[in-house]
Amino acid sequence: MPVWVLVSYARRRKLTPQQISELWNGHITEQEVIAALEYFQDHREAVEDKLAAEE
Amino acid sequence: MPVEHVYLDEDVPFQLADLLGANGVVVHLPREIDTVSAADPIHLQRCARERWVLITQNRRDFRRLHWLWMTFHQWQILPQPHGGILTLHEQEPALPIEWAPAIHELLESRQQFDGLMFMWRKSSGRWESQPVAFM
Repeated sequence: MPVWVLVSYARRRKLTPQQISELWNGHITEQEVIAALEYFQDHREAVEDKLAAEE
Repeated sequence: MPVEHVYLDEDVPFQLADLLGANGVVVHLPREIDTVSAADPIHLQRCARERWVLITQNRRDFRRLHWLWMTFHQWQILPQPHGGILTLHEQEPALPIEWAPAIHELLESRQQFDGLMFMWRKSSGRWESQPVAFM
């Protein structure tokens, strides 16, 4: 699962980790979404380029 | 007969599969056909082989692949066009409840999607066709 798309749902659609998890019917857990968002905070440069391209 | 088989890239929520499936579309997922974490060209290659329409939110990379694939097809390096690509035009990721009706309507409207790429613009509710070549 690409991190950028989880971050994009949180940033652009203002969805909570629980709501994002529900988009994948729980196959991606709320904890995994939180982990992806934390990864983004710690490694913004690794995700920003992809986000910018799709935004 | 309209297109019945689609493939969801890994960046597309499973809820979209549920909504499309409820309308009679056969939806294929990477976890079902062992393409999880595969590179983008592999996803497109598998779809081309199966004649599935690929649905993705990864506009930039698949637009490049669309141009590359169709150029190679025109040069007769690749014998067949890809099976079709549907993606988004705008900055926001799609909510399945918004995107599914538009996808279903487009799938119903055409007999085939060979070599075609469409981007959905949420603000207008319309699909826009991408050119085959960059220039």
